[in-house]
Amino acid sequence: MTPVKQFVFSVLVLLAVANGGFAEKLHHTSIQLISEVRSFEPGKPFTVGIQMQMDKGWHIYWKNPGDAGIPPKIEWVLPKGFTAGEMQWPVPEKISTPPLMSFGYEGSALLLVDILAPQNLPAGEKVTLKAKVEWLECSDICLPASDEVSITLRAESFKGLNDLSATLTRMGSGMKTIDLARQSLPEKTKDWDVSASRDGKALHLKFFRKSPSAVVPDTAFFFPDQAGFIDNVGKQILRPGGDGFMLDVPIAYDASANPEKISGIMTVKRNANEAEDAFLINAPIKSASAKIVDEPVAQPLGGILLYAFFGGLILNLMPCVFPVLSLKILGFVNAAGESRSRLALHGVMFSLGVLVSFWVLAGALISLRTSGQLLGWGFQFQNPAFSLFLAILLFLIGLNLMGVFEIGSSLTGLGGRPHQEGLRASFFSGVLATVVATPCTAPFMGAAVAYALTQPAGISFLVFTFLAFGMAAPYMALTLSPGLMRFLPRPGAWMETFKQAMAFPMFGAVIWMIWILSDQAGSSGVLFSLGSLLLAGMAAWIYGKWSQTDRRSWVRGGAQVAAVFFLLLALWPLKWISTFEKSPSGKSVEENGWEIFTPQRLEELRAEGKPVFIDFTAKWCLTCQVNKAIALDQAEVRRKFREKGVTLLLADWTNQDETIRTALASYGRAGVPFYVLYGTDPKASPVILPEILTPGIVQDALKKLK
Amino acid sequence: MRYFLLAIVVLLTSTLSYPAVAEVKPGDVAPDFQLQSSVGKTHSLSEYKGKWVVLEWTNYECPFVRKFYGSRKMQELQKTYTGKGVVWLQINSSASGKQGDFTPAEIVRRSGEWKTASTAYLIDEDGKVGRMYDARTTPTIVIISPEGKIVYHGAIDSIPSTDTDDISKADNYVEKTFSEVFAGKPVKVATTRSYGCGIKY
Repeated sequence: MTPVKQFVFSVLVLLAVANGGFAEKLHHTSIQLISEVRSFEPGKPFTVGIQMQMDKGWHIYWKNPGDAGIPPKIEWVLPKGFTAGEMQWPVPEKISTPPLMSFGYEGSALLLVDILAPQNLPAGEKVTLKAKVEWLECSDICLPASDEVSITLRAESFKGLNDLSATLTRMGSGMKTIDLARQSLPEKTKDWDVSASRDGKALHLKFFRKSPSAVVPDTAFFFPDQAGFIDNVGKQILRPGGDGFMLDVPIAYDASANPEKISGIMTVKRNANEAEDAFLINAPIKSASAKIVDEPVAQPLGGILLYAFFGGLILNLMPCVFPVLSLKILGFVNAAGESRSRLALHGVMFSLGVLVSFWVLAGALISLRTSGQLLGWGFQFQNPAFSLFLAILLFLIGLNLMGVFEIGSSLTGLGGRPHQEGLRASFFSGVLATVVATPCTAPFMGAAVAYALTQPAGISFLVFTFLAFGMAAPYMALTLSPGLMRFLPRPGAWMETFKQAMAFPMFGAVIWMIWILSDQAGSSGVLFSLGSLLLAGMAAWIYGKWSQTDRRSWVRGGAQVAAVFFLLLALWPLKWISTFEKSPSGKSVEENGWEIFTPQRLEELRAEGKPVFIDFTAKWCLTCQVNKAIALDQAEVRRKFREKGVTLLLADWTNQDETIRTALASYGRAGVPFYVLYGTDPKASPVILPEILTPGIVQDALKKLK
Repeated sequence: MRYFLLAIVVLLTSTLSYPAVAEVKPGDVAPDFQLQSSVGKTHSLSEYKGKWVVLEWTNYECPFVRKFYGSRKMQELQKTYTGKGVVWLQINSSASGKQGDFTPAEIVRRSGEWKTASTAYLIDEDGKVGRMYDARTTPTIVIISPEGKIVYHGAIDSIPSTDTDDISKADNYVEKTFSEVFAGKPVKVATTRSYGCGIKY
């Protein structure tokens, strides 16, 4: 029993004893009218409460009683000029009597009602408020009951009284109880943006994170105000996803109500140990439009981990990874002639590199989230400094592969002593592979990442760990398989040539980075970035030429200082490249038949019943570029789009953009690529296209479009 | 690999769904059943093919049921419609030992006292028929056409209360449905949310 209940209970016991005990009680609920005031000010509202105390095992009903029962009714008998407001219901409980489910109260319930006194009451006048209460009380059996309760209060003028004496004059015996009850009345939530949609089977309540501190609850239950709408016994399923969660509330197959908006009370529990929290919901019901979560997310943790694993696995096949593919191939070539155990160790080091980088990414995302920043997948590329840093790094690796310079332990482990230094290199290539590969989401992965980003830190790390496992799995498998040895050619002079050739994919990746920068930092940004590369190249050349072990020590020292100097100079723009103005990309986009995506524009087009295709993309997402080139920009595909009158909306996420992040989140995604196709029916759900497009996939989707 | 297998197991177990509820919609074929009556006779729905049938879920101790028997409204309805050839079956689905579950002799005594006019009072102690028809409260009314189709499922009238005064103010769905079907008109309100005491399954 809570202190309040205890207090009320003892009061009631005392009252009962004073009245000769419960012996002659006719029903199983005792009621009392309490007031927060003893004296009230005419013209001002105050609150009274019907305190209902049920015997053990008995319950009464909420305003929507569920499968059986009826809610209590109050009929007021008030002096002239007084008005009573609506009953304010406390948070109900589920009362389960399989196969039925009712909503109501066990133990006790305090029903609050605001009373407004008329203006023209003389001070000192006594008034009696009377309430006829009718209720149905049930245990195994149900009994209708009714009772009359009343309370007498005094009108008082509070003019000239100071605060303290005003309070003392006002204070009724029920003040504390009513205050507590009022505080625990459910209110609107500040944590979530709530929207509702329905299909034939279920009401989908969607909760979008409004406050960064909002935590997706473990369990939730929605009590609708409307009776006869939901399937009361049906399981309500909570699905974390995107940037929040969704609660699927089954609709009764024989629903007698078909409301246009839904209201009610939602109870949530963070975890089993915490107290229940409740808030009000009031939202129009849209017929199913944007799903917050498509199927992959609608899974418990186990399923998500599976998706993460497969997502990571498939990530190896995404175009994003091509630039680092050379490093991976090199790793294997490098392993030629090594012992099997050594080979396995390389695999482990590579996997470790992948794992650690995923953890760093997860750590960064989580810490940024706790500091209130909401970021999506691939966020690192939204910072031009990062793109530039990566450009310089890839350029240096390319030069290293070309043989311009060599570091004691060569970056890629292809230096003079591969057997000793190769392990560190394997680790490093794991890191690089992850950093470059992660801006794209792969099939399965989008859902897993989106889920991870909304979860507590431990679960986020778990999901990211599985992504890493998935990405590293093929390499682990290869290095562990005895068959691989047979495919590796003998070591020899060809290795040097091959290594040099592998520099070109690196330079290719540099071009990609510069292209991203052209969008992030404009033409000045490109200029300074290229300057950086020049300086980095000089540093590499100086280091390579004069820092060899056969040089005299002062030459070596001087060369090293000079190299570091040029390198620092090359890195200097990192500090301020983000201050360059981003290039206005809108114009070129529109000429190309695309419109800039805004949620308003989407709503507009949907309302007009026009089909819409949205391309969520970013320049740093190579998969997106490939999809665009081989599918979306194909004349044939574009013609189909025109034939069907589809408006093309482009959501370019190259730079940080809250609108696009929120829009992605509304589909349960945290990364790109992501493709959505809406038909003409404003009420129909959109078609979600896969992460990898072919002209056939897009045309098929268009063909099926209604 | 272990994690992988674990993940698969978790995924598979999570997709197991919960058992479905019996769905009874107007237009559906009324599922057949066989029950013993209070006088020991076996009645099945199929034997009444070709006749209109009313199923009335009842519990003589439920205040919502007493509202209709105490005011004699239920008896009047039973008399009126059985007089027109309608088969009226009272069904009690209270589990053994729970409220409303009486010995056949007690049922006969109480029914006699109330002068009920139904065709039979059927005992559904294991609740099978109640669940089959998704009956949730007493009273619940199901009306079945001579073709064996459900034409109405839900409450007895439109005002959920235990107050006898409300009976005359409410729309009675038995009367409404029969006046429509007897006139050859479609049933306007074929499903309502039944109200009353939860059935004591």
